[in-house]
Amino acid sequence: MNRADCTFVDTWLDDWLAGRLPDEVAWRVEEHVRECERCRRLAAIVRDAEATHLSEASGHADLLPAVLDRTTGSPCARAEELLPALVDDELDADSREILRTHVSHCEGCSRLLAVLEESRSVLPALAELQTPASLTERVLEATSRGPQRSAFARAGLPSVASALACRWWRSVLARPRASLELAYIGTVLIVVLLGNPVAAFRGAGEQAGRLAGAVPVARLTEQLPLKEAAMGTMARLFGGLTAAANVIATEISERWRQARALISEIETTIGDAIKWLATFDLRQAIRGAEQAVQPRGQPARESQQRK
Amino acid sequence: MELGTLLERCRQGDELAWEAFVRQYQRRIYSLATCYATDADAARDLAQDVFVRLYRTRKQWRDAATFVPWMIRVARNVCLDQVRARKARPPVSDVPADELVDLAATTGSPDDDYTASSRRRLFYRALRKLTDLSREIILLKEIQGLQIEEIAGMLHIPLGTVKSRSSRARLELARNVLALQALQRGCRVGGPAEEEREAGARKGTAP
Repeated sequence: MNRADCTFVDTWLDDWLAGRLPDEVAWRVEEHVRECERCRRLAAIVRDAEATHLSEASGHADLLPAVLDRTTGSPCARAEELLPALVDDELDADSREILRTHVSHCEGCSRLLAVLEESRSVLPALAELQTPASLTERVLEATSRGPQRSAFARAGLPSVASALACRWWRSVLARPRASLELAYIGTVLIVVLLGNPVAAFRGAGEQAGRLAGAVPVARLTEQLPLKEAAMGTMARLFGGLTAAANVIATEISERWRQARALISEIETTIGDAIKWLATFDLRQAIRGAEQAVQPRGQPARESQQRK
Repeated sequence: MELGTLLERCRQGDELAWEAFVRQYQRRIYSLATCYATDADAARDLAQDVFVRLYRTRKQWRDAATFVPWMIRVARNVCLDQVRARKARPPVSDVPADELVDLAATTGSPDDDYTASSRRRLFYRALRKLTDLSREIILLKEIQGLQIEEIAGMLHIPLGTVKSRSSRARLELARNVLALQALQRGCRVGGPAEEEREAGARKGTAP
């Protein structure tokens, strides 16, 4: 019985330890193990072996970093290199699977992959941004709606000459002290064209004094009360100043009229010069010059034959 | 209207066609300009300069098939000229461009829009932290969608270099995004006021 029961226990020991036996079979095994020294020792050995095996299995995950440290090192650098290719679907099936396995166990690579995948939708959205409201208007003002022909072109200069003149003018304006230089030239031009502006005021003081003193103040104060006399004096003084201002205005308008006439004369001269340049025929001019050089009544051919 | 027709009419000096052209491409040119500009005003001026350059050279415009890469090349040249000039004269404004540029999304619900704009802003900031070459490659390839061959021609570097630099630039960008995210999370943990402000903004109310 005892021997037969030991064979029975040998058969069902693993299942008994794992708790997989029906109750009545488990009870028979348990009763025998309690009484049989040999089976009790066997059960203890099997239980310890399983416990050792379980602990080894649970320690397996911790083994990987140690092994990698002593062999290839961390695979994250290589994985990161391949992540863009994974996102672009440029890897073969095996590489993709291996990389996916790594990413599923590595938090850092997993986050990097998530951002890379997100960038595929976010970056193209940055291709077109909302522009400021004024941009279209400013562009159109600076291009098609703006002045198409330069002042030089409008003055009748040929296109090449106009372009050169425009370039020169821009280079002048680009100079750091252009505004100062232009202000200086403008001032000189005003003085030349309009004369010294201070000269207009030269006789104004005397004239005002003369007008104001036309009626002697002493006589007024004798005849009128003091207040009325003062008001009268003030009125005369204002009258004098007004007259002086009129004189100045007349002087300025006269100078201005002269300047306008001068400017229009310059414009006409420039216009004539441009027209002359436009109709200028070089060959005809040379022919004319040759004829002028030759003696009168003697054809050019004869003079050449003599030579 | 087809691009070829539009370009042809612009070449002929049709003002309305030119206006349509500006309206069609201004968002794209402005976006490109913001990557080179220091602030929104500078980006607007830069975009305007690009259009003026395009208008002056409209007789030399390419055909429709190759026009967009050519236009981006012209825009980039104008921007680089400006960058060179700026290096001689440092910018006045210290305000970060992403705070002035409108990156708002208006496609979904307010919550979705808020999330999308936050993400865009984050990527935009990360983009501006890249090196010049990396930023340009991301800008031309990922944002403007140019082909690798076109980028290689534009940047005068070999095709293989563009590919490798592109992968590296994307990784650099992703790392920057994660770093900025971590920074934001740190700020959020440190400051409850920030959370309240964000919650208020999400609801569309003042904090």
